[in-house]
Amino acid sequence: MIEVKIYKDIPIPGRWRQFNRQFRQHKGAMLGLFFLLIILIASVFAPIIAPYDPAEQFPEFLRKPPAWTDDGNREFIFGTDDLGRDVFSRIIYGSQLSLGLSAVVVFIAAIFGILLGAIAGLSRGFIEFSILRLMDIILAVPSLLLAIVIIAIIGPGLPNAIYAVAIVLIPHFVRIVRASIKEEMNKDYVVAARLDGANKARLFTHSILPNILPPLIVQVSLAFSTAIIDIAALGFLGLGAQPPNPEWGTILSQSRDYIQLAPWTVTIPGVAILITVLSINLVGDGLRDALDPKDGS
Amino acid sequence: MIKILLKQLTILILSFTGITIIFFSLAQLVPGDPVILHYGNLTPGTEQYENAYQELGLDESLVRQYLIFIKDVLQGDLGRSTVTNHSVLEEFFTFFPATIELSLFAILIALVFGVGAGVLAAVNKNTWIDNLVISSSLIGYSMPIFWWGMLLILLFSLNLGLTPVAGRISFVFDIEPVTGFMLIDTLLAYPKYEFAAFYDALLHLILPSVVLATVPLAVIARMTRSAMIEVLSADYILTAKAKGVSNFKIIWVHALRNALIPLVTVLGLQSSVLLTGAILTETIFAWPGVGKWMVEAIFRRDYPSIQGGVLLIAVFVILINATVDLLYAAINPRMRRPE
Repeated sequence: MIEVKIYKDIPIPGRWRQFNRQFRQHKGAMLGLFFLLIILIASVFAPIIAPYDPAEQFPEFLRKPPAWTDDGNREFIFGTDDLGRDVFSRIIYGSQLSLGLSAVVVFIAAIFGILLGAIAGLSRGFIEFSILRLMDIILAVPSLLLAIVIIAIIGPGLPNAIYAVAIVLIPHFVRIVRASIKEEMNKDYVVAARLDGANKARLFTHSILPNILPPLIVQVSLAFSTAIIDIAALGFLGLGAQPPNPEWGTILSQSRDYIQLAPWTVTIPGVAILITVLSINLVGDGLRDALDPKDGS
Repeated sequence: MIKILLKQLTILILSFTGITIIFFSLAQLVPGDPVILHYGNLTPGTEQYENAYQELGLDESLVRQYLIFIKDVLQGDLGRSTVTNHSVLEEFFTFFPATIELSLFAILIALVFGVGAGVLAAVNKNTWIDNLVISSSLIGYSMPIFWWGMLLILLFSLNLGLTPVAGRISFVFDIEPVTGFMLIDTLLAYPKYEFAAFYDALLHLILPSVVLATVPLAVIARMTRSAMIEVLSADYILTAKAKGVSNFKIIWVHALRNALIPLVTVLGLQSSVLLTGAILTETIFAWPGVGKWMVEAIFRRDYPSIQGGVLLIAVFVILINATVDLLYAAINPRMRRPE
């Protein structure tokens, strides 16, 4: 069939198309996304990919160096730790914890942060003021220290570390949501919705929220990388996940004593953390440029 | 200016009240007997226990208890450590200089190298230098510093033997803590060791401060780069160029001066990041500062130390932020308004 073009139309790409095009141009972001997907696949299919159970010990292979060294063994790609556990399997299973836990943390923080931010943004006077002051105070205490204090009160352990890190991340969401609401509030489309009789809750969910999604998405990516580092840091200090949990920070604190005897048990988990955080930050940069083209270079 | 000052003062007072209220409420959540929490192991029924009970105002209303708490705090009485039985305030200030010394040195490194790298990247925009700065700052920004610290120890201390592994100074030197700042104290002890002690202290300081500087350095470099690019495209730079001002002078005097203004705010925000990093850095390098002290307090369940320490650190950060806001108003010509 012959396609006949009567009108000379220039297709204006839709929102998603535009975003997709912008994002693909960002080489770093694509690289980050690639690594992130690999890590995601590794964590989802950990039982299939990991050759051994993370807790399984091989007493005859204590502190075996990685496979690429002269003393290495092909059975253990990244070597074994001081208890003869396969480092590769532990890292793979650890990615489940790091990604999963941070996802939970970011989810909790985003829900509460958006809610509080919406309340602060849509109200005036005392409520707004007290929410903002509270957030300022949370921001005034160094994030890790606050998490440590919360853990000091509710006790060490993984669930508590999650709450602690989530609380620390809330203020950033509140600030962004509130500032964006204040900015959008006077725009014509919001005024129109108000004239239509929309109440505040509807105004927020139907009119404002879809329009402030870009900064929120960027904040989610930022919070995600912070969450991974903070959870690992708490694990490292012995306040988060407890051994023999294969959480990356916990592995690091465990292998710290063997830094000279088995340096690979220190370097490899750290590289895993670094690559994960770096990938998320790269994707975050790409998201920011793609979602807010006027800001990018 | 007075208006800004007054505003900052109000915010300061409000933040302080808020912090104390939050801490007081958190204290209610701590499981266990509050008397034992604050005074260590006292047996209920003894006179000591009853005295402590009275002192905390536990038989009175929560509001009254809070007022007692506030009164104590304002008088500088943060209680006694349940482990060492020293005053928390005194203990805090014996550890605090070590943290400040480390943080100041780190911020110095971050500023010098961060601003330098940022300017270099901005001037050579879209060249390999720019790309190098952008990518290394992204790596630095993503760095888990507790691992970075261990890596540097492995490389420089254990393998190359260039720097000491931990602590502030070798045990051979017996330094009188006059100011608490090791670099100054070692200089004060000059007649005894000449420069040997100072040199040793400096050597101990280098690795921890590099580790602590990593994240702020990356942030500062990124920030300086984007501010510099913006400033360099301003009209007044063009004017300066047209007038024949040398490139060097344009970049390092005319442009940098304005590009650095937003940096003041960033520095203020970094104070919180620095203290967070200090907790980890001090733990890795066995640096006797407040961060390590706080982590140890948690493991010992030394509740008064935790409470007092966090309160003091929070107040410190709030004070820094207030100072930074004032400084920003003072140096930024745009903040000046006609009377």
